[in-house]
Amino acid sequence: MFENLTEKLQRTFKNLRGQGKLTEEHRECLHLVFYEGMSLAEVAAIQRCPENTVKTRLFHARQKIKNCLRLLLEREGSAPGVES
Amino acid sequence: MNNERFAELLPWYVNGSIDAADRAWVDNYLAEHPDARAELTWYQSLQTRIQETVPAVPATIGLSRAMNLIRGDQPTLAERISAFFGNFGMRPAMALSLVAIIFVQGGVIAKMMSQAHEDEVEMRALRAKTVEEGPLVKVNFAPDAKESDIRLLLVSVRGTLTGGPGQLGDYYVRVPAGKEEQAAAKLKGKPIVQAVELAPGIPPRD
Repeated sequence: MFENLTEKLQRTFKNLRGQGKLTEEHRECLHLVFYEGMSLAEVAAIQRCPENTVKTRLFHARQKIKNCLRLLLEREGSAPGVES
Repeated sequence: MNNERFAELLPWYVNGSIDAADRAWVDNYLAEHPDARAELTWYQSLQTRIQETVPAVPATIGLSRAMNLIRGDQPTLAERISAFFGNFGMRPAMALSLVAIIFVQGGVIAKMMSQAHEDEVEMRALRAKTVEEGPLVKVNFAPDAKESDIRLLLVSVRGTLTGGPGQLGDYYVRVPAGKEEQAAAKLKGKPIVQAVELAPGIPPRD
């Protein structure tokens, strides 16, 4: 179940990057948080924006990924535990 | 309200940058709301995928490429010239011809104007000496360092490449004034960094 979800996430993430649905700010934000492991204050400082903007970017990135994932799962006829 | 706070804190809980009090709050929330674990699992999966989909970069990364990567893709001089004259509906070859004609005309006019003072003026070509003043942070990256790792690492210390790589692969990084030691300490702890030291500036080439 978990591996299945991560495989679909990987494809979803590639799709989103390939189609450019995630903006540069969104991608950078995701990268700084989940690759670099930076804190909210650090990400805000690097992106030169308020902390609330970072939260909003993360929220929208999450929504886009989930929407794309949902479409993918619907196309494949399964939707295990994906909620928006 | 609690749900909103949980959603706000979860990314930082997953990446480990959350403080102890908030971590305890999230742990408590997860214990009270077993359904929320699905969201935690989702973020953990996302983190795993992001860490695995970072593109690799050749070890022979050069300064110009690194600078372009850090500053973003910028058009080359030829592309900019072409775009500029393209705005006037001119082909690049015609545009270059026009530039050449203007250049020659300019040279003739300048020659005529300066002839009277020719004996008084002596021009000497001097070698420009452009040495970056320090302090800078001299960094040696691991040969298998990925482009994204280097880029993000420099961003994390607010650093800008100002020189390198030298024969030994040294890069010179400028960081905000007064933050050199702090940046060096942060860089030292990273696995893609082989050596870090403070440098008074970029040594001039012979």
